[in-house]
Amino acid sequence: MKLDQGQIAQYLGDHFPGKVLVAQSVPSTQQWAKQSDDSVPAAFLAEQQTAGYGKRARKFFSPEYTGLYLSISLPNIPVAEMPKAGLFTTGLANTIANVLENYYPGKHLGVKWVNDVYLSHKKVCGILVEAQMTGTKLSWIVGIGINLSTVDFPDEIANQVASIGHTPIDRNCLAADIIQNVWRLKQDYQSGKFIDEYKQRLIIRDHEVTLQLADRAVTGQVRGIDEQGRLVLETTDHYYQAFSDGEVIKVQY
Amino acid sequence: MKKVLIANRGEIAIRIIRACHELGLQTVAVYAKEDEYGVHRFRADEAYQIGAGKKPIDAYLDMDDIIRVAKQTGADAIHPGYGFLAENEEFAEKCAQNGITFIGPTVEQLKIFGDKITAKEVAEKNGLHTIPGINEPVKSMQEMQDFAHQHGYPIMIKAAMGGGGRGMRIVKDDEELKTAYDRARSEAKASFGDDELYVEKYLENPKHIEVQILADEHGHVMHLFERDCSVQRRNQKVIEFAPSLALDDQRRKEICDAAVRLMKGVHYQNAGTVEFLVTKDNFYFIEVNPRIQVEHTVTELITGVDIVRSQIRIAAGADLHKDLHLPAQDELTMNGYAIQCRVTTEDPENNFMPDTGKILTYRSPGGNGVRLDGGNTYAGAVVTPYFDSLLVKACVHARTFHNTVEKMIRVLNEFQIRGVKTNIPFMLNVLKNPTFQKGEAHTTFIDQTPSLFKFDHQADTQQQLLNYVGDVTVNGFNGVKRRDQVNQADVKLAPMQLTTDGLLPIVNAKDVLDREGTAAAMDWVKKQKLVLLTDTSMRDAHQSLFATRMRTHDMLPVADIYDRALPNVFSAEVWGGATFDVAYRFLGEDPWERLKALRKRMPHTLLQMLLRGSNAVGYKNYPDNVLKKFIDRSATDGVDVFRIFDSLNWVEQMQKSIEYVRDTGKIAEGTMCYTGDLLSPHETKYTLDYYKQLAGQLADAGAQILGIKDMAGLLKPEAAYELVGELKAKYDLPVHLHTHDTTGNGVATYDQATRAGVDVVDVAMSALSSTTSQPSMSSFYYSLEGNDRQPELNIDNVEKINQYWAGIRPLYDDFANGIDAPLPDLYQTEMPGGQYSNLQQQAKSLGIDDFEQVKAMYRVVNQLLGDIVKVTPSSKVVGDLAIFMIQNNLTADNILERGKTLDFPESVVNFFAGDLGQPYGGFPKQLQEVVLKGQKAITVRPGSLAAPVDFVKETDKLEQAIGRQPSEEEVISYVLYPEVYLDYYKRHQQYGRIGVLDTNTFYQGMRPGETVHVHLAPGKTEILRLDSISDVDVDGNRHLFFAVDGEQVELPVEDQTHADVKVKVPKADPSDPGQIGMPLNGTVVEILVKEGEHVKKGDALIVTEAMKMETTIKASFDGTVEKIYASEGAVMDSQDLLIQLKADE
Repeated sequence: MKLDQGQIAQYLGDHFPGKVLVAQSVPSTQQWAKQSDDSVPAAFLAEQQTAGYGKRARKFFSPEYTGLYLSISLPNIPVAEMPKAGLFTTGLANTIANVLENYYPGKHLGVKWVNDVYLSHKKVCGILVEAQMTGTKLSWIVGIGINLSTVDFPDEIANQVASIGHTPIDRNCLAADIIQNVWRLKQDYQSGKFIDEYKQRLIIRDHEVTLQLADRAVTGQVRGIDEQGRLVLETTDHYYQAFSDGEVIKVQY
Repeated sequence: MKKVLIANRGEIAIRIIRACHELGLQTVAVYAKEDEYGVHRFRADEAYQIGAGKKPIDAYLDMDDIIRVAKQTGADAIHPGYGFLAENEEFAEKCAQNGITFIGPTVEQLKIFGDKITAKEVAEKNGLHTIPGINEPVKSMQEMQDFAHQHGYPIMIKAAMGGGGRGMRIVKDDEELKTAYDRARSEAKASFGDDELYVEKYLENPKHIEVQILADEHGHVMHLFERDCSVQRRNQKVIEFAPSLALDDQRRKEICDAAVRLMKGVHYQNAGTVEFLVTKDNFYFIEVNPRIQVEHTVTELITGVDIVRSQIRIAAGADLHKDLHLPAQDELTMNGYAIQCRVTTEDPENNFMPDTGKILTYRSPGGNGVRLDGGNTYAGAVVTPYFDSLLVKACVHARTFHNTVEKMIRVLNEFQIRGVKTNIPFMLNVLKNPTFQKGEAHTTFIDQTPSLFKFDHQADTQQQLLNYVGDVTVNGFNGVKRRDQVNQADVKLAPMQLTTDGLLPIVNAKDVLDREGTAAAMDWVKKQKLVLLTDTSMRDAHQSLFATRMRTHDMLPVADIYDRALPNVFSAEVWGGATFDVAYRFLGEDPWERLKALRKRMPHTLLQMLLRGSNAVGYKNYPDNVLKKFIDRSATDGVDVFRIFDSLNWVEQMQKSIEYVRDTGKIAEGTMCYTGDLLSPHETKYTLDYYKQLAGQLADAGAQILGIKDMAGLLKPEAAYELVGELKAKYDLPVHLHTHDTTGNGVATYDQATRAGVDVVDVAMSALSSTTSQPSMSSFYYSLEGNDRQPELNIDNVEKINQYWAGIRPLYDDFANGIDAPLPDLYQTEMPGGQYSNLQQQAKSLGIDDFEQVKAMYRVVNQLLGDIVKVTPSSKVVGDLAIFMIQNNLTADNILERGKTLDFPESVVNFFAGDLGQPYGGFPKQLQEVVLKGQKAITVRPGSLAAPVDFVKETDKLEQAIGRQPSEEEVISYVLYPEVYLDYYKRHQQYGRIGVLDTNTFYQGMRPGETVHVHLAPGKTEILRLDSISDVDVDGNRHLFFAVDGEQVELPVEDQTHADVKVKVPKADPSDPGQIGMPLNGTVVEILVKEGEHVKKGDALIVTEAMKMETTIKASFDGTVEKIYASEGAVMDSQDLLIQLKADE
């Protein structure tokens, strides 16, 4: 079914104080959001992205109708919240995994640190938050790309990504659910109460991983995350370290 | 002549300066800017920069500037050396015009010999053969053939436009010529666009012989014999020697006379060299070098004539015979042989590319018959890419050619040059080659002998160890806290009374095994009245107490005297368990080497290892053929007793191992793990009957001795009495008991077991005993005072050895597990001591501070899993699940329900999938379903499902990876742990034999002021002192100043503790809106502006990233980017200053 702005707004009711905009095709909903007024909340959705992107401008494959691509503008973030950003970005993964599981019963979604949502070793949803800071004016633009039922992925990513399933679902309802839950997360993420659930979803928990840092790689067993959302690794006997940056480049399953 | 200017650099400049000083002449040196530090500049009396602003080599070609300096300093003469302006007639002319003596031949002579054609003509005019050839392009094949018939085959067809070896073809006969001619024409046309061809006679395997000429201004010309410079690589001379072995006296005379004839013919003056190519039948003139040559040294050595001195004096008007007192030609003799090797920074393994860098160590040889002509070579000198790569000319002189070669080999080996690569390994290969040694090497010898390019790669042990010590000193040892002071390093073993070798009156188990085999050995054990001991000090003791970290280095002093100090010990447990993995992964040691070292030193003691039935010493289930290979090799390398166990007591997983051990003729100890409490009326699973039955299975499987492994110290004294008694009654096998003193009852348990007739018990030396280790050997010994089974021991020796261990133990404090008292609560928890502290730490890092909670859950989990044996790896399953349950608020009641939607820890899933084997009593079915969630479980021995490893293929893979043929042990290690082994190998290549370092230095590095003695081999000790450590320099390196055997050595070491690329920046001032600070800890991804750029409000300045949030910081006002402090890729802290903006007025 097609995305319908009216439907989504209706589902949202007053759980989200901003506008909802729907386009057929845009280069990227993130770009769209950034170009718009970021002093008011708003949600931007598109059927298709021709230049969808994720972390560090990596491409996000966004064919029409089989996925859900949206960006949510969260304005007026107090600058003092920036140091907690890691808690927010990890919380997003947990929130979205929760929402999705309601639409795909029986599917157990996992999370790969920091906030990739996974189903059985493959990525089904990417999340990127872009912050815009001008002096003390700060907004967070949450970008979410979900492979719902996409089948034909480009060769170079076919081994790492997948879609969730082919159960027909109401994408407008799903969109509204996500928008309102993200809005709610923004209000209360600082409590960190989602951490346990997140830890439970962590698919690389106990696995040996290699984490690529700025100029070196660290290998260790994943032991969980801490209250700042940092990844805890046991690198040698008795030696635990928490990392706030780095990318998991290798996982020993 | 009073003052000489040397228009050159490097070694020849120094050579000339020395000659001048001997003659009492003043010297002036010139240098290019890049040669500021050139030694020649500091050796001369005065030195001036020339060619300012020019490229380095061009500076030395700046004729006018050189003349300027000469005039300015009042130099009478200029010596041009070789290369640069040495053969430049224009320069010689300028010197003359300025009234400066050019030390060399006349301008006219430079002209003649500077032109190949005129040189050839002059040579021919004076009766010398030149290489026959037609000087114009050949017009037909017939012309070529005629030429060939006249001068003989082989001939060379050369393309007119070719050069440097291209476009040349060798033709051997008329037949070949027919096709070669046409082909050469078409190829020339295709490659060079021009099909003109020349023809020349081709000399096969010629020797390059050159004759040294000395002539004065009074018409005297003489030769100083010849030099053989045939050893060339791509037409560059590598090694030169005099005289040549290829010439007999008559030939020599012919060639030398011809040279003199030529030079006389042009009235030559000063020094020069005539070069020839010599074949069996003839010799052909090539060219004249009208100057001093690099290899003049060897002529000086065999004739005693100082050529450079002579040059200077000749230029001042001296007569060869009257003034220089040179003998007449027919009275000139040569004495012995001399060889010169040019030591350069060319890297023979990198296509002879010249290496550059700082020379860290420079030690040069010396002694009888050694002459060194050096350039800029000293420790600290920087080798630049601007000039040639010559470091020093090493020359030797001896009576016979053979002696000379030996001496040169010695000299090259004696050089110690570190910091830059050298061509020494290559020259050694040449000198050792039989063709060279016979004097038969010709000009294509090197290019045609590939074996000269095979290098031995002898590790530079000293340098490697220094690199290691430097690295640990600066960067620490992973997982070890850096200490400001360390425990005393030198721990010695006190002298003790030893049973003398050869007169061992005692027959022990090892003797019987070796002489009569396992059955006899076991009989012997059973017959012993006194209880026997296994000493675990070198394995389980330190595995239990300090994470298996004991290094072989600390074991060897004890191993050396073991047999003679403690001949009655049944066995020493020295291998297996975690030692294999830890040796490679943490100690940088080869466990096989440890085994072999101990075997060698303890030939009369049984060596024992712990082997997990299906995993050997690894963590996976290996196929049977791997187990077999491992066991076979271990037996060959020295293991006598194999204690085989399974973490679930599933005999099926021990069968193969027992079988394989029996096949080797060594002792197979089938072992049961003790758990539960057979004395308790509530014990329904692990009852006395259970163990009796299990023992029966082990006996059936072929165990030759029964082991009881009480890993958690649960076997209470009375239980031991019952269990051992029953086993001894029922089975005719010796019983070997192993416990841990974790619960504090170890000795009591052994006493009761002894009363019940146990044959052997495991103990550790006191200093390494108790708590999580084995009970103390001495304590047990004393506990049986008055008992007629008290073991036979030289308790005095035990105490002395114990003192040694007591001195060693503090070196490993960093790895201590923190358990310093008995833990009787383990009778309830049943947690093996080794797991106790690990689990505590694991829980803490995940925010679970209450360990009692963990212990309680551990018991719950044990029951949930069906009450299983808990030893690595089954104990990990219980631990992991306990933590998981706490984290997820699971209880025994709700786990089946809530577990349905949870992903269980990997170890738990694997357990239920059957990866560890089948537990006694089976799996709890419901929980299994919940955990596996549809995944299939196996019911057979996992090892039986593993496909056999193809050892041939694995050997090949390993050979590829390490670049040489691996040993069988290496292949086995690679198969067991591919990544860990390769990491170890890489580290070993880098750091070499770090096993020889003492333990303090190994883990803690050194502190300034410290001295350590490194024992590399018997009688070979290195004294290493660390003097100081510098701050981190701009490249991120620290400089360590050592004294190695007294000699100062500087070692740069990259400081990786700052490797997070943390830039030192000030913090942003929050009150200044122009100071843009880092919004939170993270990485600078992209800087979008440049310093000086003007920006408008809203323009994006910089992008940072942290935890999947990419922050774009925009300008909040119009202004200019004044300064950028950040750099892309830098990891920075919150509020670090990134950019300073200046607002528009």
